[in-house]
Amino acid sequence: MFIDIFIFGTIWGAIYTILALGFTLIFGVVRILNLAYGAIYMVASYLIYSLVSSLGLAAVPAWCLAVIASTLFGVVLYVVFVYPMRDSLGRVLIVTAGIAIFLQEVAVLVYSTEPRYVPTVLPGGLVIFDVRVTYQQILTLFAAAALVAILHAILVRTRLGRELRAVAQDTEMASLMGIPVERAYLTAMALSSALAGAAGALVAPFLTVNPEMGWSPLLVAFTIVVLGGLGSLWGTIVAAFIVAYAENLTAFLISPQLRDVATFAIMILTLVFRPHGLFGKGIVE
Amino acid sequence: MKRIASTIWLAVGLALAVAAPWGSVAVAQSGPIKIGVIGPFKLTPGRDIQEAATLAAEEINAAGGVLGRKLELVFTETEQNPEKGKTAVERLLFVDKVDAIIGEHRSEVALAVQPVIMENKKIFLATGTASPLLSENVLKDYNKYKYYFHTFLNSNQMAEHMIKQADDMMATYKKKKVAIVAETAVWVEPIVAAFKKELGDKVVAIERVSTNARDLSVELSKVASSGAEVIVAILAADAGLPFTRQWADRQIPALVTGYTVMAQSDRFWEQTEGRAQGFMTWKHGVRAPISPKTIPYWDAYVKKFGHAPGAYTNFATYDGLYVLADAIKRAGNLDSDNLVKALEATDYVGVSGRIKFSKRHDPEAGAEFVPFTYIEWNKGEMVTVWPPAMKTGDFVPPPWIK
Amino acid sequence: MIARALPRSMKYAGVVAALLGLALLPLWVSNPYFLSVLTLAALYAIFASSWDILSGYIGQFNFGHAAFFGAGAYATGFLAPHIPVALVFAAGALAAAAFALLMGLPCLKLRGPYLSLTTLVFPLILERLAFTFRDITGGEYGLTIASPLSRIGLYYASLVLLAATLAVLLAVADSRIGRTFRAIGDDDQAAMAAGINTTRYKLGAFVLGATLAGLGGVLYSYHLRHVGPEMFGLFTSFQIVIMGVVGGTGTILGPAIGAYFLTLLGESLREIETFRILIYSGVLILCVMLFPRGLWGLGAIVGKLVSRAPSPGAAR
Repeated sequence: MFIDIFIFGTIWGAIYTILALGFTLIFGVVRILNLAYGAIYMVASYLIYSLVSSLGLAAVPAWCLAVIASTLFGVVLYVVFVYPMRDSLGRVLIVTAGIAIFLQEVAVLVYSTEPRYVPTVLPGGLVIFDVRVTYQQILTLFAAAALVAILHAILVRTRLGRELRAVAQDTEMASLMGIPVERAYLTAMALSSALAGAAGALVAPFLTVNPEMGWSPLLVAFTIVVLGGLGSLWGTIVAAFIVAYAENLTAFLISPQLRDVATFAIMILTLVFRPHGLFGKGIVE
Repeated sequence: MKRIASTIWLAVGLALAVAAPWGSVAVAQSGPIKIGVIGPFKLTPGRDIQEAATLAAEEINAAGGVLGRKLELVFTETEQNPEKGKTAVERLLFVDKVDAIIGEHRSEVALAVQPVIMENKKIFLATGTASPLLSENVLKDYNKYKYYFHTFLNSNQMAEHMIKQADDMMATYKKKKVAIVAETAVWVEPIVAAFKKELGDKVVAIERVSTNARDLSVELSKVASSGAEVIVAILAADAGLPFTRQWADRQIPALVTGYTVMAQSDRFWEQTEGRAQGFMTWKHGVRAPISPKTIPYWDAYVKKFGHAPGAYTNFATYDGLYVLADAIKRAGNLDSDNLVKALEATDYVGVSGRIKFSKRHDPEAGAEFVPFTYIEWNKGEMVTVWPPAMKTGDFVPPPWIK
Repeated sequence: MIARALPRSMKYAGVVAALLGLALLPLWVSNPYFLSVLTLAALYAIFASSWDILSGYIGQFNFGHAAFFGAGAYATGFLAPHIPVALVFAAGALAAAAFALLMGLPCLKLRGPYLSLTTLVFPLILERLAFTFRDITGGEYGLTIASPLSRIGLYYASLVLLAATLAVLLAVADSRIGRTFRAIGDDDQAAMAAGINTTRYKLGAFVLGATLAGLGGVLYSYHLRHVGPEMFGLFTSFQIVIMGVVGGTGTILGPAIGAYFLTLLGESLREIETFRILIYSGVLILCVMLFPRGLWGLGAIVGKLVSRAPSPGAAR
């Protein structure tokens, strides 16, 4: 039984890692909370559904298109809605919340609340320690690892990535050193949205696609950032796995109904007892 | 500055409140008979309420209406929310002045609007709710609640017939161990309790899953390790979909029966990418010779709307409107007390079977009344496989179970 | 001081006039449906204005206000059959205040947006708990409540509670405490440096808003004669934020007007009721983008154009 929890917890940990990394990027660099983050993930999933089911596209090109579209979407979101009110965190929060609800309602009207599914890329599966795991889930695991590696490479090896990290460390100093801060913000927004889109692409084949699917990842990502602290790649990954295992253990030991409550409890308990998170610097100043 | 702002806005607020142009108040005596139809029309069960009622009203009107008057349906959205439901029903009662109200599939909304409708002495014919509390009110306080009727089965009735089918299935396929996978909701309580009582030790696992579950890995692992050979799934929410997909993906070695609402939808095969092969569920309203009207209705429905009747609300609403029209004809007028008497005397053969109301104003269930029919997904089709008298095909186990 | 006191007294006169107008409305509007909608509008006005004291004045946007009036409503569901009405109101207020303390503990260490996301999860936890402990809460069916008041009685009760809520909130907002709230909202670091115990003030605003919302929640459940877990849904809380922002935050009266405006708008747009949520969120986005001060601020601009003369307060 605990093998099951370990295996499924690991798969969820990988997905949560991607979600949380995207979230912490905007959080850490642009220093805003983007409540439309989950909506980007939702839009990407529906996009894949439409491309595959209605236009008959193959899965992989559909994934790529969805990731590109969500990147563009993130940039537009930033330029049109966030940039004009950057200085007021409260207004950014409310406008992104408004956008999230608006997009959710658009999805309801276009697709209805009937859940949708995105076709599996790799059908079939294999048995690991008596637990049958699908190839799709294994693919998700590897894809998530690849995404982390790519993100790491971008942050460490490219100029854009270095700028981004400089801004994350100290915006004023970076600005004084002549680093184009706005460009770093845009990069962060684009990368973050790409990750949200990629996460949508990864989970859509084994999760239900429905209009309200964006809220849970948003809250999970926030919890992971609270727990793992800002600005630490490893902190985020460890926190993502802790949350994933905690959810599955709660479902197993207490009640599946309280799975979300486990996440929320981690969020609140961390804020009360360890406001700086496990590693790195926390969100509480 | 502030003074002017406040005066203006207070004036606007007041003007809005006084002059709110909420439609004209209708006075109906001789025009059409107005029937309010309530439901969450953005969801499949709501869509089916809307479409089935539309079709029934068109047919009734084409045949000359009722008492020489046409039926006019007034659709009002309830958003699955008791607050919205209450406002919607009050608008139907006091603005549109409808003569009766039918529809709704959520018990909590029906429970919230039931007293409002009863106090205004109008007929409320619920066509999709499962809570026995609604009809219990009829037993407890007949004078107040007698205007309530129901053309769908309540969960006590479901329990009785689901056990019969599960028993039959276990005997036929020589299975001994049952797992119950039921969502965490009150409406399933009587069903779970009845299974525990009737099947006793044969029930080896009871898993209560979250209504908003997106992943049932842990729950399915528990079922698999319990050694269950039959799963009775009782899932009304979206969780039915990931359940089916993961059951097939992980090749859980247990036959599935019970009541999975998602599996009644015409889109289920596509949604599961064929993983529904061998998946069985109770479905209220199937394309089978339940009555001479059933198959013609099904085909006419597909022709009109381009898809098969989906949710359980479909047959219940279609029959409900006919039962109501039939009662109005027999009563000869729209007086609610006369209508109650006429409805209580109902003996009507509709598409879902023979409808006769019990003492508590639920329909009688069973072979000679509204039969309890099971479908199995087989090669993209919903095949009626149980009861034997009505089956249109044989049960075929999923490919990984012999 | 005199220049500022004058519009304030006019503001109070305006509120009294509006409430009197609403109190006289049943003379013309006797249709039970209209009365019911107006009752609902008054209740939402209570929720939105009580939300404003923390969210508008201190600028800490609370995304979980539903936890408070939901607590009041569930307290009614549990206790109404057993204790007198007056005690039910007391219990509803207490339950909401207790939740405010519970939420305040982790939340008030956080700044602005982080507080918002954390407050968002509290009603969601309560929603899950309501589903889980269904023996007591009635699960998805919720609890049925017998109302001690008639339709018209409920209407007047909601108006009286609205009047009391506005009176308390305006009194606080226009006092020294209100000025401190604003100072914290403008710059809490500076306020702290000036020796203000910001946490205590924030917690005070939290508890005050919650208590009033809890009382509103009791009345809400009497109006609905029902309480269920959908009270804790995401959109229930968002709706209050939308009403507050659309009405104009930091004004107490603005959110109340926003509540009346959106409730009546939602009911009058019958032909397009499917688009209600779309319209609500669209109006919210437009408001934040174009009229960050909401209807109240818009009213001020219109007022300025109409009077065409600088009024004493405009110089601020």
